[in-house]
Amino acid sequence: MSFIELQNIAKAFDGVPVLRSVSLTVERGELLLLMGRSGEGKSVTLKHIAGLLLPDHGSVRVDGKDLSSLSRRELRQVRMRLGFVFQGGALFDSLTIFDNVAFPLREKLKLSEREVKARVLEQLSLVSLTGAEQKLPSQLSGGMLKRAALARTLVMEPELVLFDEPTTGLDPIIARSILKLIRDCQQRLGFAGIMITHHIQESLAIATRAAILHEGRILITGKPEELRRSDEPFVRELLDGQVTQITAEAVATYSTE
Amino acid sequence: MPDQYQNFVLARVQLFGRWLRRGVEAIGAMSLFFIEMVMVTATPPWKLRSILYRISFIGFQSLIVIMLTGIFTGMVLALQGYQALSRFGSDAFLGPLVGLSLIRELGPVIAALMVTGRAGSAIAAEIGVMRTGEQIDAIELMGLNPFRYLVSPCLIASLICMPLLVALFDAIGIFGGYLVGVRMLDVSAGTYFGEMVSYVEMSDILGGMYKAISFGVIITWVSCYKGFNSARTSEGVSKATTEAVVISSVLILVWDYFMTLLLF
Repeated sequence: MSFIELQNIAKAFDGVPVLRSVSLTVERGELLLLMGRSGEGKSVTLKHIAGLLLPDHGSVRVDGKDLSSLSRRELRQVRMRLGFVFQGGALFDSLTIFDNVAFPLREKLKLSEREVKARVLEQLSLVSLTGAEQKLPSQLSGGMLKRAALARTLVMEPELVLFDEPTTGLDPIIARSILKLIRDCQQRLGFAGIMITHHIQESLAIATRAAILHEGRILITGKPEELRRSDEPFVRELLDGQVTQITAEAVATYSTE
Repeated sequence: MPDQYQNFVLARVQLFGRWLRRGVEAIGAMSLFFIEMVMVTATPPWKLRSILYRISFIGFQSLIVIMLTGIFTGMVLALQGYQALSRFGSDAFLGPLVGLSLIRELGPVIAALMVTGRAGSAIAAEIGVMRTGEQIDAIELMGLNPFRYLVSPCLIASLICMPLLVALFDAIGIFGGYLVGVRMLDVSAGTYFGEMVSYVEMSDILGGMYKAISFGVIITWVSCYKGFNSARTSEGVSKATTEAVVISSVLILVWDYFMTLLLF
């Protein structure tokens, strides 16, 4: 039995289908890269796994438990085992970075303040944020925000981490450092991960498996090298077309100025 | 032609049906929100720091606006009341008129409307921004109930602050009435306060306090609900804030009628 199992999930918003029949499995300890064009439903898929959305059809199982059939209390227990790194970080803007990372430890694990401090400082050092403890999220750069969000997620030692575009809005160098950090943390802590990102080539280098979502279905799954060898036109477009797309976007931007 | 007419009628019926369904759904969602709000607030643990912050936000920071509106409401009430009462030679009853109007009606209603505008709107906007920034999702994904951190402290703070704010509004309003009635219009201070004490009963004061408490519940309920359910855009947050103020204000006035019917 796989750790995460999505079986034929379908979801529509206001009658518009986003997911038509998505089936996907994730094993413990693997890092799956979920790719696809914008608006294909990648974030929606992640939110189904986190139990933030329920499918119209199909089932989402986490460690064998069907999320649709769980009570709210049981769902909270399942969520305790998951971590979610949001695109914008979702840090509490009224709390310092220390308090943000300490929040789940204080509220959920009820640890002593001494233990909280030790674990928070250890986590911040893991993501190279030592010294930024007393800063507010508004005082951090984009890359630091992503690191802080990662620290808050990992401090609870989750078994599965869902990364919703952790590199969006970052320059290529910072994006690469965040991806390297994710790989290092994943290897050290051994969690399973599902990641959405538009930095495809760099992400393929750290992923153990990849899946492509297209027109509401999983088009193909496989190891990164298998996808790189694929002749499927859409796969080729996605893997090779990044530079072309960026150039086209840049041209469009400049032409409107 | 009959087909066109039929289609026209059908389209209108569909539109009405959709509107009705949305209305019923909204009432259902608001009712479920209310039940969860009460259930979470009634059970420990209570977040003391958040409660104190909300007391400061809803109560302390509303003091100036409550005092300003209170004194001018009392003053205008005395001015208008005196003119009406003196026509019948009953200006001695200015004290009871000011006191009863403020304690039974104007104090709770105007204070609640002021708190709605000042704190209710801010609560809706704050929670709406948290929804947009996925901070509420983050709390849920930590296996925690966001009601305990965002809604319950607001409700407890409202239950504590609203009666106190209304009491302050009443007291300042009565003082405003005294300034106009006694100092400006030469009603004797003894008559003003003496008649007020004779006519205002404990049941009037308690009725006003019950109203204040229920208005506090309405403000928290509507503001938090609107913030929680705001669309994840800046326009959505602004719409939620506006709706929170409008719906709270209307509900306060409607509920006030029924409370008056029941209490007095």
